Amino acid sequence: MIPVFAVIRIRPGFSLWIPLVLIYLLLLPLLLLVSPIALLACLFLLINPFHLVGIFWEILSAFRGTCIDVESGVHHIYIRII
Amino acid sequence: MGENRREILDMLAAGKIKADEAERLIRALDETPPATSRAGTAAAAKLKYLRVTVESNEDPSNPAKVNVRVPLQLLRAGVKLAGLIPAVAADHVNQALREQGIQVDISKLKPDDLEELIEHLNDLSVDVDDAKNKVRVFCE
Repeated sequence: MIPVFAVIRIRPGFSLWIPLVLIYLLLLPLLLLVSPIALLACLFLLINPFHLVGIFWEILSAFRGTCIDVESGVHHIYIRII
Repeated sequence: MGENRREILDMLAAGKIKADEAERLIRALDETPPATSRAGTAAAAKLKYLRVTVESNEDPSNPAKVNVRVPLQLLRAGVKLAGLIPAVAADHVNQALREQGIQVDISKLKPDDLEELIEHLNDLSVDVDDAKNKVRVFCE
């Protein structure tokens, strides 16, 4: 399953829960523009486009669970993909 | 030669079992996968994340901590993607890696090799300690 939320906490500062579905929707038109070019590139490089889409989907799904936590003195940055 | 196989041959030499019984036992041994390999694969399947933690006290008034957790599935998918890189582009990537001092041929990276690596990471934990810094890399 692809990630659905990203949690970003920056201290001192703010905390955000970003619904990634909205970002996917925003990126969808761009994807539609890029896909014919990608398809041509796949044909030119003899790559199965379905295989490529499958791998990109796998990479996107694999981001779930990623966590980056950096703390230095009073500053704290926390990013988590759920 | 495996210990079990040697034991069967010893029993045959001592006349405790007959030749056909020994043959049957050896065949049964060949059909049974080794327990360690099964345990290793199960352990590799259980590992989910690569974890890197860094604690730095270079500045005692401002200690720094970094904690990064990367899903191993991301590495697996990355290796699959590397397999799709055309030969011409792979040469450029290899050259760029060599310039950075990394002697890796990405065209030879295979998902099976990564599984083997992950299996071995189960037993591996890298700890780098000095007076002020501590780095730890492990799988969980």
